[in-house]
Amino acid sequence: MIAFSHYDIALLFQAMVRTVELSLGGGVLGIAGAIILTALRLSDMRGMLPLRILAVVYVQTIRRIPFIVTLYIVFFCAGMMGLDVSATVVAIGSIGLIAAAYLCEILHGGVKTVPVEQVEAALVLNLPLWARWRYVIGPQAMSAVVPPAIGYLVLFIKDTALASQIGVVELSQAGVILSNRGLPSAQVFCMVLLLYFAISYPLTCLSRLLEKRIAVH
Amino acid sequence: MPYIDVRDVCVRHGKNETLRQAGFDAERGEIVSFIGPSGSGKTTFLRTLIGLQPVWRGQMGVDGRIVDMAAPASARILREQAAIVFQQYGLFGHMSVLRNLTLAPTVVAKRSRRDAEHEARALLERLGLANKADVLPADLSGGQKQRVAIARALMLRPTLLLLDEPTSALDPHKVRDVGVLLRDLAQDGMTIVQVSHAMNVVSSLSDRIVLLEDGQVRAVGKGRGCAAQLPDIAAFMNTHGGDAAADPAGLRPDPDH
Repeated sequence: MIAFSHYDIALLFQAMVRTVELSLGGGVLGIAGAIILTALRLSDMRGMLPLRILAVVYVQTIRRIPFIVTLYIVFFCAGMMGLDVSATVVAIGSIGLIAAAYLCEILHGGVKTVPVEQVEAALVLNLPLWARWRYVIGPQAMSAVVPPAIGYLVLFIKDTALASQIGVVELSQAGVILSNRGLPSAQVFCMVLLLYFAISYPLTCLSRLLEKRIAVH
Repeated sequence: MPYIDVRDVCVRHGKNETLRQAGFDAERGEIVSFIGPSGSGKTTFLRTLIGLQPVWRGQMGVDGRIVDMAAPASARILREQAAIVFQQYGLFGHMSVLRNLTLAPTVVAKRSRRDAEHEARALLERLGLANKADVLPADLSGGQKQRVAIARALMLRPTLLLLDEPTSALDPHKVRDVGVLLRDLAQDGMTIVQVSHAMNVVSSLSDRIVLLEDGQVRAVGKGRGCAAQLPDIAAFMNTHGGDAAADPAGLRPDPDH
């Protein structure tokens, strides 16, 4: 066992914080974006049709492009527009754009599992829009949304490693740097593995907890 | 002027007219049945009465108050005066029977939960479901689900109760129970409109029969025993497994009258 120096540990720790930032920032952006996209897709007002089509096209396109391509597109677009933002912000933005598309598909699918007759029943009971979502659609869609959504978020934590391609020093990139400094690669990457696990495992626990709570309802 | 007066309802899908100048009227406490071949517009017509089906044109009078059914704001007004029981009931699967009944009164009508629960329990007891208040809909039989759906509709104190094929999902011996329940509700002054394929129940129960064909009202029979009076209706019923002449389901309180 070769001891890591303080500097090495500090680098790993900073990189882990960066990975958490990317995941958390991208996740929050993605959830917010997915809610907006889903609301657009479900809106039945006539004037909303162009936005609805746009939302569907966005979701279907993003899901068919490799993550790394989206990342480069956002990175170079930000450069072309002369935006002075750090690579981390660009990475969080791209992760958010991608997560929004995937989560929208999960959310939309979950809402569609609520039987039409229940939605109509809520309508004819004269429940206002917020109450239909709060009492009828939301709780029932949740049980179909939470497990796959968290499953996706766990998967996408490791996709944040791609942010290293635009120069973000996140967990996997820190591993590369340390092993280039001459530290034994196997041990370095075992460490990286453990840290990834430490980030994503709590999410799995949260999922189990939520699933139990939903089942109780 | 009749208590319920629906006139000139037109529904269009593109260039197709699925409902053409349909209308009917009814007095308070009457049971109206829409019959007709499938695709004739019965369910569409029923859904227009509660604003679930956008109409091109049409008006509905309830107790002298006229609603322009084509106006965007009409849905809310229609839903304040009518309630509907769907063919598949549409009970909220994650809520207890009691909560299914009290949701709209507490959220929409802002009644206190205690008050609403009190009324809901009384209603469940009347429908023979007193011990089902805390059960989830999935644990009920088809007939029980339907009674819960009817109870939920009645919680809104509607002037008009709509039922989409109330007997289609039931065992034959349960069909009669529903018929008796509807007759009792009508005797209490509830006006009921149903779409039905159970011709024996229709001819036993209905005060008015509206025969629809190709989105148009072909014939309207009025009064008890009306099924036999009009050749169109009698012919339709006799070819759809019913008996227009008698009270085949045995639902009349006074069969000799």
